[in-house]
Amino acid sequence: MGMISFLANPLRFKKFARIAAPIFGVLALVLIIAGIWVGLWRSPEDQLQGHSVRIMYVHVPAVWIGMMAYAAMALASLFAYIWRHTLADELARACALPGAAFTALGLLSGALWGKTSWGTFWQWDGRMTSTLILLFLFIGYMAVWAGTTDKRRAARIAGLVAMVGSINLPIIKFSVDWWNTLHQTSSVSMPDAPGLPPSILLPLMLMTFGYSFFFGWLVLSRVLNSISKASDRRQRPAAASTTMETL
Amino acid sequence: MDIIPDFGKYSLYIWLSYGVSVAVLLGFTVYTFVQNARRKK
Repeated sequence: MGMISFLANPLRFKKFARIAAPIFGVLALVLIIAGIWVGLWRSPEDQLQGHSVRIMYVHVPAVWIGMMAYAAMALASLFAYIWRHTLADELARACALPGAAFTALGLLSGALWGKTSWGTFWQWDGRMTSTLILLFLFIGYMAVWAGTTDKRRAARIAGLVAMVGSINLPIIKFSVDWWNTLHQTSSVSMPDAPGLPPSILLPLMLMTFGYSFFFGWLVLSRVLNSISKASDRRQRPAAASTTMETL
Repeated sequence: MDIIPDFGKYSLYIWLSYGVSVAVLLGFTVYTFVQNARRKK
């Protein structure tokens, strides 16, 4: 909470983002290159799935980051609702496009992996359907921003979409336990799960952290850019009136 | 270690997954760099 209130000050946020963004960018580059190298060249094939297991290293992190992006968007919207802080709205808005892209990547790579493992690109099972709904929620959120001219009103409606839609996150997570699906139950986060061998866990974690830092870099850059655009807009009328006065 | 590894019957699916993922990341990277450069001007 202390960190959030510290960064709620736009000047402090800008200072933090200008230092953190390039660090996140470099870390993302290194980790993603390492993840791809290990995932495609170093890790062995799986006993059951063969080489197709390699798709997991881009599929699972993409869906995780999509979910994390939505959680961040909903949380930032909640802060914006409670404290009416425009920076929180900008943060929520900055998460939407990258979040949608990662979710779409997760769905696409999942369809390709599904074809190799289950023989089908798509099934209307709980996990796939709820992940597709996640993508639609991102699109809906962005559509509200794009279709509403009054920025404050757009932020309120889009924030509501983000918060109400967050009910979908536990549905995605627990869909494999609640319904009979093609997906297996959790293998990474559950303490009593069978677990993954290090040769599979390493590329998975490299890609997950790489994607996380990439997402962090994107969001911080997008917020910095939108702050800068907003201050340009504020300065422009002032500059125009000064010119008029001098004339 | 092959320069381009052969994944047999899964090659198309694996390369497509990685190719699209990298393309999207690169797209975002270029777009963000352009936006950042405009901001710093």
